Amino acid sequence: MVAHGQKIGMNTQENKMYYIIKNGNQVLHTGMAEPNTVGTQYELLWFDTEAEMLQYIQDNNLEIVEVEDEIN
Amino acid sequence: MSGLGLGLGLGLGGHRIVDRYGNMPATFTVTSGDGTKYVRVKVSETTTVTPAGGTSIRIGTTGEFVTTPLTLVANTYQDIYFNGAGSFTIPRRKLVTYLNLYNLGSSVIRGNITGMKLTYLYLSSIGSSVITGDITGMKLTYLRLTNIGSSVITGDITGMKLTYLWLSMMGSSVITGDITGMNLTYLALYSIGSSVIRGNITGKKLTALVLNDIGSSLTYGTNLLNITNSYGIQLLGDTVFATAAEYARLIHDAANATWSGAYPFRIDAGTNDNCPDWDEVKADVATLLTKAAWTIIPSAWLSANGGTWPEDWDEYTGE
Repeated sequence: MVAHGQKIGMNTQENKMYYIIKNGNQVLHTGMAEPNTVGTQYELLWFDTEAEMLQYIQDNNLEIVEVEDEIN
Repeated sequence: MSGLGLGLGLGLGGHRIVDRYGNMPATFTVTSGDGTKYVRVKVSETTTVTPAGGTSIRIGTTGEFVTTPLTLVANTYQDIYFNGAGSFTIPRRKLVTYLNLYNLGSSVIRGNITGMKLTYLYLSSIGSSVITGDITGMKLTYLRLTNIGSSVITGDITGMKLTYLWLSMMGSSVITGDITGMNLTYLALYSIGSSVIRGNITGKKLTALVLNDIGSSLTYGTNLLNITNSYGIQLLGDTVFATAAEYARLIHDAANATWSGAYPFRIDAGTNDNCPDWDEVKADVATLLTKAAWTIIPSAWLSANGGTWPEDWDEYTGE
């Protein structure tokens, strides 16, 4: 994970963390990005691992209404 | 003068393709069909569709499947459902102006579109089906090729009046061309392999803009964006605009755009070389934060130019 105070450099997989963007109990979006590179009008939560993120969603009974983000 | 010559040459080449193949039959060969899937067509004049070799067909969802010719009415959407192995044929390709094959599941169909006078081509999630052909010279206004497996569609879109262009997961297909001047309302290029789409994105009333792994083949001018599609605005993979000014214009256009829903604004790629001056675009980013559901910008931009974060940006503190 990114240590506190670490300068964020170029985009690399190593620097990325999992995040949730939520509005109340609805999860609008989950993704991976470098910390600080995401801004939103909604609530933004960061996680070290995908497992932690999924556990948070489960523990808080969040409804996933994810906006389509991947194109096929 | 040379530009005129080139333009005429391309146009004539396209006409030759349509003329040469347009009078050939449009035959769709079915190797697997359970009667639940269809090919949607429009034809420019009333004609027939004739099954052969064991395939039975019907037009629409009602009525019996038959092995005799059926009438295709002119300028009307008609779904040709197919059942059983064999084939069905429309007598001349150039009569076909609209072709839609979508979500074919385990049904398998083969066909060639070269010579059709298509204004609309939609191939998406067609499984093991194989559609081939050259779109050069067609007067397409809508082109969507997504997840088309082993199908091979080729051609040059330069000069077409496309309003919709979506190319993704195209396998070995190669589409080339210049989109400058097209009145596109939708532009998505995603994993397009060896295809090269070039030109200037300017003067377009886009409802979505998604570019992934297309390098620097496109430039960005200025556009009246009206984001109504859930894909929003996304520049992904190795997609880059060459200059900081282009990114500044994109951020400005996005901030001034109408957003009809909670959609993303996402720029994954970008380097210090094309980093807009953060303090110049800060006001636009602050506005954008109130419109897009989430905004992602390259970290390289945020560690350069001495800028400061927009107010209310959700900065990670590492705690």
